[in-house]
Amino acid sequence: MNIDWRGLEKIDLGTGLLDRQVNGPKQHPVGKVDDLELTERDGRIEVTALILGTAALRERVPRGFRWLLRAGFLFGGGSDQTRRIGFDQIKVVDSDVEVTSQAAESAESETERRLRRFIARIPGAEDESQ
Amino acid sequence: MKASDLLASHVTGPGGDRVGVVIDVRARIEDRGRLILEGLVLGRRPLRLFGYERRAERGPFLLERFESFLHRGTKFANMDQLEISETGQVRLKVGWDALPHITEI
Repeated sequence: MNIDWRGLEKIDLGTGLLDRQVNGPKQHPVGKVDDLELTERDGRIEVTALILGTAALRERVPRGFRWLLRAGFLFGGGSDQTRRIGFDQIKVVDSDVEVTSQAAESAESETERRLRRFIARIPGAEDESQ
Repeated sequence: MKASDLLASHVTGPGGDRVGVVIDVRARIEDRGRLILEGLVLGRRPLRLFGYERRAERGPFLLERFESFLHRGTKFANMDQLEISETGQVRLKVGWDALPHITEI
């Protein structure tokens, strides 16, 4: 593990890490930091992984607003499975979080894949980068 | 345990009475990027932080004053002053008044 924290010495997890965009190399979007895994080691609690996915986000949304997420699930074809990215897969933490290509591939959102396949069938929707 | 188990969870005092809520979780970045929990930011009410309490540069005057008014009672408890269960229940080992204000650390 050798993460570039851009000179930070301390971070407030709720303000500085949760809800940040997670990208793979070349700014390829992977998802958002919806939760963090905490593990007790040698009497200390360590942050060991990012947790992504609307199923994880639902835990943090006030009960009165969860229907909004459910409405989103209906549109997107179901809720995202929870995905985990270990801290050893993080390269840089800045205004977004950059992870390795291997982590980006394994943690890509299934909902996003479904929507991409759907949008790709719309005439004129080809990706200009390809 | 997850961060969501701690955030917004109720905090009890040494006598078991409810004294506040967890506003944020502060972590220290150690060599090679390991992130170790240093303590919890606690408040009487569930208000979120805006970041001004940590930054060297200051924000717009009015926003800064508003934030310091909102967080006038916000405290910081380091890990030695806390008992955290595996399910994220937080108990203070010391009294609320013994905790430093968030800007004092």
